[in-house]
Amino acid sequence: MRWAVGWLMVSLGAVAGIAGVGLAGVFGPDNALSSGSHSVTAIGAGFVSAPATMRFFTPTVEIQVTAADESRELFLGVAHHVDVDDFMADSAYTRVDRVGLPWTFETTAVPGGPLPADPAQLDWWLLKQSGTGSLQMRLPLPKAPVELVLVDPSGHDRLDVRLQFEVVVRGAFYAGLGLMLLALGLLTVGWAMRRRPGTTGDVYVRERAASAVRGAS
Amino acid sequence: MAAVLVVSSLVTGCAGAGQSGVDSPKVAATFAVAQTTVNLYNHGAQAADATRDAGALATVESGSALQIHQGLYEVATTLDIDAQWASGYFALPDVVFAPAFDGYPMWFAASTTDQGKQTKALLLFTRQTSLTPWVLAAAPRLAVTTELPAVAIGAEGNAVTADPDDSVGLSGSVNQALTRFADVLGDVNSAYAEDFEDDAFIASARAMQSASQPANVVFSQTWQAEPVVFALRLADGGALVFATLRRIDHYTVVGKGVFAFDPQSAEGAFVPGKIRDSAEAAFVHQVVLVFAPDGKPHAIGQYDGITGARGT
Repeated sequence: MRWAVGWLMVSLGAVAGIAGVGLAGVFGPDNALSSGSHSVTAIGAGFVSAPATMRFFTPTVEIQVTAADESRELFLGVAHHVDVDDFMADSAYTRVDRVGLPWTFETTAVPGGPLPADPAQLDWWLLKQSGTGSLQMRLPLPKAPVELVLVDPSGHDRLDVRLQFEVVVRGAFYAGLGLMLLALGLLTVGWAMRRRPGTTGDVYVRERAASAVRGAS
Repeated sequence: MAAVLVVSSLVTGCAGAGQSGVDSPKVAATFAVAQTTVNLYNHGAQAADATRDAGALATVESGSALQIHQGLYEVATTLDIDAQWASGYFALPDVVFAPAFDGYPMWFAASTTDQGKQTKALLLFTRQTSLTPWVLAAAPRLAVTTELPAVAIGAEGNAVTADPDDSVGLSGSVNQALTRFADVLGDVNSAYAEDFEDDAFIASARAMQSASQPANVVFSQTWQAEPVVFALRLADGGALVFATLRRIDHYTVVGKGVFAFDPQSAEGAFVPGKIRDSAEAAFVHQVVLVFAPDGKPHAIGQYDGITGARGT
């Protein structure tokens, strides 16, 4: 039984160690997992993320956008899907259906017309930012089902940008270190417990003890 | 590869933790949004009142609220009086009733007082699309001592709406009841009189109908209820209903002679001078009623104004 528990602890320790190394190594001391920078192109005004994709970005995500043409106006906003769906209902854009790391970016082109208004003038954005050429936004995601919108509000029908996002999970690095420490403990204790009763070392001790007893008698 | 898979699992496993479903409806307004909306309304209405600008008023009001306020402008212009005397501006709300919606249009109600603390008001704001602002659609006044019944609360922390054509929890649908309510208001012998509490609103209608008229004038009054759009479900299963009722006062001259409205009255502002045949004055009433599952419906507040008059 003790032998079996020992091997179980060794096994768990190995898994914890791999997970800990992975977690600490991938997130690093800044607790951020980066996608790297990638070129993407949107038809219409820009990109709108489907609400399900926003579930990937939790609890905090940092987004960096750089337009291929640095004179382009950019707008980046987060709002409840009801508001975004109504605003974009008749507009052309590229919907982001799936996002993943290290880099998955699946999209669908949605046909339509120009934006109905300058999005920066509307009052229902939970977070928003406007700029020329590039934008960077760090956003803790609200619990509501939100959509991320990246558009050029000036009426172009194509948007070329380099996009990078970082998922920030506070405490991920230290959680990785913690897992490694746990792994060390499990491996150490498990290794010591894993010897079966009747192994070579134990037999030698019993034989020596037995011969000592025979000698004494 | 194993480390990346574990990390991805952890990240995607965390994804969505604490988040609402991807199709969750939107609660129409937070408390902060309601306060901002009332503030913007006050500023917009005040600016429009200063110059009696009906166009500017339409940027902060709609529906029957706008009609009442525009009628006030006509009266004020004709009689050369201050348009602000009856419009009233509002303190920031203390309670907000915001339903959740899957799309536009949206609405919410907010309880507040007028800035002189003379009355309570139950403000109803609507928003047609994501591109248009919140506008005031109704503002029935209540006595300061009136306690609002408890509203049912949904899973998103939203106020629950009541379907005006739904009979669940009530003896009949809200729309059916309001049609009968209009009949009771216009006919002292209505067959539906026993279905409603003899409240102050019904009493005031009776008082208007029995008020003395010139000897050569026959007076009658008709009421009509518009279909209900805005209703909240109460915690006891009843409903809190925002109703719009149209009233027309009919004046018919009998025999020879003429009559005239008081020149300082709202009717007189629309129809100055002598009336030889007949006249009509139209009013709209914004009424808030409580439909209790175990009691008779009754009005707890209202706000009204003239929308026009004509005579020959």
